[in-house]
Amino acid sequence: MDWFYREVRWGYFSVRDVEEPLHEVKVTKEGVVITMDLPGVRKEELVIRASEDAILVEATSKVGGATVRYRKLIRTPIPIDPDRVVARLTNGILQIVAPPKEVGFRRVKVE
Amino acid sequence: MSVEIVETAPEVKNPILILAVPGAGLVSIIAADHLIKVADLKEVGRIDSPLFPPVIGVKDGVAMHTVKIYGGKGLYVVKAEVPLPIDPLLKLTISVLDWIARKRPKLAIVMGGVPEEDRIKVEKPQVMAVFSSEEAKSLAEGMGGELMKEGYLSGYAAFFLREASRRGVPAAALMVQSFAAYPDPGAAAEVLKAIEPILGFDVDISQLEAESETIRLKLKELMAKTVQTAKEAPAPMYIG
Repeated sequence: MDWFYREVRWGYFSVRDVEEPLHEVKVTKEGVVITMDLPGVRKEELVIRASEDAILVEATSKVGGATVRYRKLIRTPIPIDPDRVVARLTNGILQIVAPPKEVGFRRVKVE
Repeated sequence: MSVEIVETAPEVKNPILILAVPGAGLVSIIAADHLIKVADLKEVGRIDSPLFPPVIGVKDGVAMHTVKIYGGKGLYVVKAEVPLPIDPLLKLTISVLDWIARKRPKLAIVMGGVPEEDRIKVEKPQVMAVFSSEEAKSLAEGMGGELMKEGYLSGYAAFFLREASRRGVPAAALMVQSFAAYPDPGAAAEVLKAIEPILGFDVDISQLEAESETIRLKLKELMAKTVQTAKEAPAPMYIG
């Protein structure tokens, strides 16, 4: 009966102040691969920030005469190397590939 | 519990039926919406059932049905505006096929997206066609899409073709490479190009292409609901 109580309203005809874009997150052999649907966004209007455990995407676009702002913070399922994150935007579909953080061993001094 | 079909206009005889339900890339919904618009189809009926999820459309504060029948130009388009769980979806399909069988349709068509991992790299999505019988194949001569030569088709389209065949309804499934979880107007445009030759009127897709970004934004929540519904369905059962 979960569905009965889950929510009372959803609609798809109003643009919010900030839209959360549709997105998918996968872990592959290349690392964390994120795709995101950003209709109308051009690369000049897109800002991506990466840390070791999260990626923040912010963008603005004009869609059907309305200004649309997108914002999404994604916690990565594994630690990533923010310096090697690459992104490509094709027809408003963003693909981010975030290689995993390389984990090395460090010798521990014994006292 | 039954599915109730109510017609509110004189019937179209020997029609082509297009059944559109939310699935991968919302391909059939986008294609159906565009077809309704360019062919100026009118709402000619509705379908309801206590089995359907407790969702209603609302327009100007008034409740609307979520499965509607549009008609005109020798065509019926049955469109579900919300994703249906597997059991109501199958019962809806059976009821629609029983209903259309009595009208001796020329062809019943279901359209759908086939999730393509590298869709982002595919400029022109391929359309694949499968028919319920040799008769259906010849009736649809001239229709676009590449004929699936051999193999197996599973999921909703397979169910549709099998049930159509059992009722003697000539049917076709048009499946197109699409995004799985993002609305895909580009894939919908390719399906419309494929069915245009058998419709008997032009389907101008330029407006669909021009409004592609707006459509993607407007259908964002329906897409998310469809993905959620598919995730909740038993794994081997749901292919939209």
